[in-house]
Amino acid sequence: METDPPSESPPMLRVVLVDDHALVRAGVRSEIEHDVEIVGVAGSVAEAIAVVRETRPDVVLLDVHLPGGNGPAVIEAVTEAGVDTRFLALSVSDAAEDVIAVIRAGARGYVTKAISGPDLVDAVRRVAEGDAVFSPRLAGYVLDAFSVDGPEPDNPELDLLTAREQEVMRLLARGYAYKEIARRLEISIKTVESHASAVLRKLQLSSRNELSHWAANHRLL
Amino acid sequence: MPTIDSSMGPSDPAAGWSVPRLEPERRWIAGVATGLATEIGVDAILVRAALVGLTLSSAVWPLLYVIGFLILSRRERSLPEQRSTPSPKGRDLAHRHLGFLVAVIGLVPLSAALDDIVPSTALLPVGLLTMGIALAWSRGGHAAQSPALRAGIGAALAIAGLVGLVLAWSSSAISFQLVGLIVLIAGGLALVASPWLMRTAQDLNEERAARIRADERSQIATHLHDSVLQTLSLIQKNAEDPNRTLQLARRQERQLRDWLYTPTTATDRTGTTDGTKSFRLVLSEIVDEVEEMHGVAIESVVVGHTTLDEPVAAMLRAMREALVNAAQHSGASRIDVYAELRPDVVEIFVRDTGVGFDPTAVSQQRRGIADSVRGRMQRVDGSATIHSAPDRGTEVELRLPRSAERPRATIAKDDDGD
Repeated sequence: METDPPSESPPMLRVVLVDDHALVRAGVRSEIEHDVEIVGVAGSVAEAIAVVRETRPDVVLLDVHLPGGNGPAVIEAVTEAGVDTRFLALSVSDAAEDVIAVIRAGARGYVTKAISGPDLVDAVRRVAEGDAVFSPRLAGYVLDAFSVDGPEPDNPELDLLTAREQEVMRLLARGYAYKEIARRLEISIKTVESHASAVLRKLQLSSRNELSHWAANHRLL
Repeated sequence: MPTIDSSMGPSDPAAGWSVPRLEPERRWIAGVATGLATEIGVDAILVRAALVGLTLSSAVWPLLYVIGFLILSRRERSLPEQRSTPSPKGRDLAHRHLGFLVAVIGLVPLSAALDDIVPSTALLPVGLLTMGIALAWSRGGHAAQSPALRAGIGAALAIAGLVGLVLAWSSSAISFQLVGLIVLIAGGLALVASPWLMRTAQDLNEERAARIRADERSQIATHLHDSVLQTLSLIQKNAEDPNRTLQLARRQERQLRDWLYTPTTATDRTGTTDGTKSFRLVLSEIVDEVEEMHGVAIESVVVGHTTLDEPVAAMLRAMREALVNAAQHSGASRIDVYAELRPDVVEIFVRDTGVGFDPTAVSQQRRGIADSVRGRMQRVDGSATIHSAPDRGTEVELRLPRSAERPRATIAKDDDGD
């Protein structure tokens, strides 16, 4: 950057924006470019893989649906190439199976394009730090997919949410921010974050049959 | 007697008769009989019966039928639109039928005399052969009728005609060998032609599939035109009004998403099997309505399932009050709705991050709204709690314990009474 204000000690996060719609890219860019450095954009799976490998950004904002494959294809190819970067899914899609697929491929969170600029910057920062980002919708998916009225799980450690995790997910679905959850549950923000990360890990690693079954059957809301 | 002429074949236009038309819509074979019947003004079945009856006296009739078809189908092409509604020629139907019958009976001796000159044994095979060829080559008006089937029947008729000819002309034993030869040749030809026939059938199937795809495309195009393009033009017109633009865009987004992702089998979206609307559908309708009326963004998340009975419907009305309240007073641009539907309890949370208020010291107006939310919930044995503090936003919590067991218990009691 041409100006380097002394007050800004941490360097700006480097972000790659992947979306096949130029209008969406322009819109997202204008909302966050004052707070993060956009080092590259891509409009297809192949482009995304090339740009990410070349620029090695901190965070990739990834559309779920892309020409020439979908979000998971990008995540898998980049991970295979050994690039250390983190993915945040950003999509208008409400289809549960798409969202679950991109999370299971390794994305650290999912937000809808309706998210406000500051909230998006906050989510990018959180993902860069290795935390999980749950939009209310994703939290709702999680609660539905891990609902306890299924049959006995194979691996309770991965296949069930703890009471605290359920509570955190429920508050996220109600639209609470992390710090509001911390205040309400009288725990630290770090603890809220670790609960969210634990849920994300379960979402990614659980072999629970119902998860994919649920996602496939649950194309809406 | 003009009736006789017309029953024999195409009528002469000079005699004041309009040209009979083939009637492909109601035909049995090629529509000649039906066309004639319409022209004379009698039942088609009568004309058909007459043709069959006359055929018994002389094989010239099927031949005439085919010739009639060939001429008429040519006329058809040259005069496509001259369709005159045939005027009734007799005083009434009975008269016409009687006249027709008399004419046909009069034709029988003529026909029999004709048979002496040209023997049926020779004519019948010729008739069959001509009919078969005509059928195989005709294009047919019905899309539903398979051209392959028509060609097949035509070929069968033609072969039968050939066989008949051979049998009629040579009475010795070699005729059977000849028949065998014809059948063999026909079989060989069919074998040679079968790849072509199959390819044609396949092409037809592909064509049909392409047509279905085109139909789907045009259906999508129509939908996009009716919804998305209309909205886009509305947005252009309302460009100076950001709130209106936002509403239009949001509503369109939701509709399009519904249209794209609505599963065709799930009863969830369109309603339950007994025709009532589903919880999710009603909730999203309310959300749309409030969004549009007040220009706020509402994010709704629903978890689980429930049946939409009267208490739940009342709960959704209470939720609507809470949403309107938040949209009008909180100043927040976004409201979150979260509904959790469990077997034992249904909970709905309506949350905004707006100005909030002190619930212990509320204005009279807010009191009223709070009461209307609370009142609705209490009437169905539910509860409403309002959490708020100045600058901390507001959350309305609606709670409805599900007495899902109650109706079942009633039935059980009835059973016990036996």
